Parts: sequence; structure tokens; C-alpha cells
Amino acid sequence: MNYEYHHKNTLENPCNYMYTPFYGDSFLKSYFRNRENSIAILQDRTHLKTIQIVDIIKKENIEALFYLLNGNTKDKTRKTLSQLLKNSQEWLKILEKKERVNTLEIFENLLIAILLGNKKSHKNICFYLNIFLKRYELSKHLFTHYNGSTFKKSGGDYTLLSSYVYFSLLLSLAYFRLKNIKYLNTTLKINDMLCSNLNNLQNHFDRSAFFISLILEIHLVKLLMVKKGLS
Amino acid sequence: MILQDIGMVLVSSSRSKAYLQILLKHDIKPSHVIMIDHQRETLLPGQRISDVSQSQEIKDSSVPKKKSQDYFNPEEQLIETLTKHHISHEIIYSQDVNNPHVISALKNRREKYFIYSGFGGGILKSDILNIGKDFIHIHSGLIPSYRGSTTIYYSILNENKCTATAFFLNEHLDSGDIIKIKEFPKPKNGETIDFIYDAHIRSLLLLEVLQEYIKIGAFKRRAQSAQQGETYFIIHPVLKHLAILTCKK
Repeated sequence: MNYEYHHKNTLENPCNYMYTPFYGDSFLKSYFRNRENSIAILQDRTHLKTIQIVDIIKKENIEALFYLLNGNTKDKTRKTLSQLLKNSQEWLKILEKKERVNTLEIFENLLIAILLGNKKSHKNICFYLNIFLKRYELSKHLFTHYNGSTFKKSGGDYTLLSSYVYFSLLLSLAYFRLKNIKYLNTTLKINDMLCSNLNNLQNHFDRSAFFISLILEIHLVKLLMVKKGLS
Repeated sequence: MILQDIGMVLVSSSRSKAYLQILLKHDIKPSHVIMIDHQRETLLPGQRISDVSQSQEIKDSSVPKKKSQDYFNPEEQLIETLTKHHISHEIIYSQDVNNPHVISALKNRREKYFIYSGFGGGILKSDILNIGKDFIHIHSGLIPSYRGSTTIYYSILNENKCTATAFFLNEHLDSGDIIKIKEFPKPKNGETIDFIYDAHIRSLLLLEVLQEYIKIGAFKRRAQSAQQGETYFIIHPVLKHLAILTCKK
């Protein structure tokens, strides 16, 4: 049994996932096997360890992911982290006044807000995540620029993998925090696409963030299986 | 009994078959059926609705024929049912429910209500919604909590049960006035969901809705808020597998 959803480049040939067949347990085994292969490749290409990420996830110490993604240094004091969070929240508040916004900039601010923010701030994050989730699900693409008030694409192209990496991590963290299964659903689709483009992840941040997102994804799928009595 | 005020817009799909067969089983006939047949045109992705492909799916997913016929007969062609029961109908060859020929056919009809069972992913546009007819749709999910696509699977994963909602279509996704909501147990064989069970529970609710209409002579309707609720998109195969395997528990 082969996991067939990341064998071809699904950024250029999107999969619509309509009426996918049922193959039983062997499908899930092949899914885990394929994801674990991708994780092993990424581990070789980053300085991160799977066990380290799993430990953080199990302890629900999500804030620690912020340090990992920012060079593993803890030189930022609580005060500077609070300021960073405040800046992000302020930036998001004036987003709708901007005519043309860089998608990566939006995602960077959302990532800070979801990693460092409290439950109250997550509601605001969901508003933006839901918009981009819909954009992605309908077109299977994320563009580099959007209009800040209408969120219609504002030029640029859809091939920048960093946008998808950020979005994948955001969605897996959103599912981890809020348990809304639609976030896990889209994470799985984006991660299929990114696994089909593993060798095209150019920078260290992208590889690290995707490494974390993949580990988070399979951890969350396993938790769901336990919850449903399927482990 | 023929419902003079009620017609149907059907494409050849398991859902349409389930609808028509359950109504006929209870001696209820629509006044007229507009059947949209895609066969002379190319299908768009996600519009796999032909009789042939459904039969193939049933075979592929190892659903025993006898078992699937406990619900409805997926092998009986829609046109065969219409002819056998002398139901007034016309066929329009198109892959698009918003085709001008469909709109024209609807405008020429006297029925006020049309039960809609269209192409997967097809949405009625304002051109058709504004012709003065009301379109009734049965969705396999609780509205407004489960709007969108493949919500039956999400409902099994989240709630361990299935729900169907009957409502009037409007210009927003799954946001029209609600007629009736009904809960159902999850199927014992989750592999039947796509082509049998989903259609079956929708047909059961449709039957109840029409039986109530016959009794009181009107549809009860209550508005819902387009702002509330959650919209889902096509389920990923990993989650679909978990939902199907959950049915076996």
C-alpha cells in the first residue's frame, strides 16, 4: 500500500480529495510511514531532534517552539516577548487598512500571536486563519500578497513555499490549541503538498517550521485515534 | 398522490435515486421532474455522478449488493424509475445546473417548490434563485454548525452520529431558512457513506418533510444566521479513514 497523496508535485497539480477510496488500516500505516520518512529527512537537514519537539508538545509548552524557531536562544526576556506579542496584535488590528499586504508578514504576526498569546487572542487569530483556510481550500494556492481589507489576492505568485510552511504550522497549532478539526484537515492537505516539495524547501526556517508541523500533525492524528478508540 | 406544487431538479446520482425511490415507496409523486444529464458533455473535476461510476464505487468498496439495497436500489437508473411510474419529466443535457435551458425549463413550470439534488459542488446562482421558485435542499450535516462539504464525516468524528438538515437554498452557502433537522445513528459499515448511507439519511428526512407538508399544507421555516456556524471543506483521506473505522467500533 502506497500513500499516494504526495507522490506528485501537488502545488502544480492540486488534488481535490473528492470521493477518495477507503483502504482500511493499511492506508493509515502507509500514511504514518511516509510522514515519518519526511520527518527523518528534515531532521538530517535541521539541527532539531524529533524527541525534543515531541517532549515540548507532550508538555504543551508551545511557547518553547518560539525559541526553537528563533535560533534556540532564550535571550529574549519576558518583557521583550510581551512587547513582541503586543506589537503583533497592534499590527493585526490595522491590517484591514492596508491595501497590499505581504502574506508572510501576516503569518509571522499570527504565529507570534498563537505561540505567545492567550486563549482570548486566539479568537482573533481564527478570524484570519478561516479566511486563508477558505482561500487555500478553494484554489489550493496562497499568493504572496493580499488586500488587507478584502483579502482578495493582490498580485504576486503562489509558488513561495514559505507561505505554505507558515500556514501549515499555524493551522496545526490552531488545532492543538482549539481542537477544531477543520484546521487539522487543511494541515494534512498542505503537508501532503509540502512533502511532495521537500527538496524545494530552501531556507533553514522553512525546514525547521515544517519539521515541527509534521511532528505536530502526526501527534495530533494519533491523539484523535486514541480518542476514537482506534489506536 | 401527486404533489401539485412540488417538482424536482435531479441529476443522475445515488442521492436522486434515493429521493425518488423512497417517495414512490410511500406513494408520493412529484408533479414534474427536470432531469439534468451530463452525459453529452465533459464532467468537471469532482462531478463524478454517473450511474456507471456509482456502481463501480459500490463494487470497489465491497458493499454487498443486498446490503446496499436495504436502503434503496442503486442499480435502478433514474430514467427507468421515472418512466416506470409515469412521472412527468424532461431531460436537459448539461453539466451545469445554472444552464439557461434549466432556468428556462423552471420558469415554464407552475410548481412553486423544487426539491434539488444537483451535481456535487454545484451551487445555484442568483439567476436561478431569483425566478420565483423555492428550492429545497437536504444537507447531510447539522446546520449551521456543519456547513459545507463532507460534513457527515466530520459529524461522525466530532459527535459520533449523523444529522441531516432540510432547508431552502439562498445565495449563501447552506444559509437558507431551515425546515427540519433530524439525527441518525452512524452507519455500521462506514464504507457505504459516500454512495449509500449519505443519500439514504437525506431521503428519510425528505420523506418526513413532505409528509408534514401534505399534513399541514405548508413548510415550516425558521431563519438562521449566516454569521453563525462553521464551514467545512472536503475531508482529507486520513480523517475519512478515521471516521469510517470509527463506524466499525
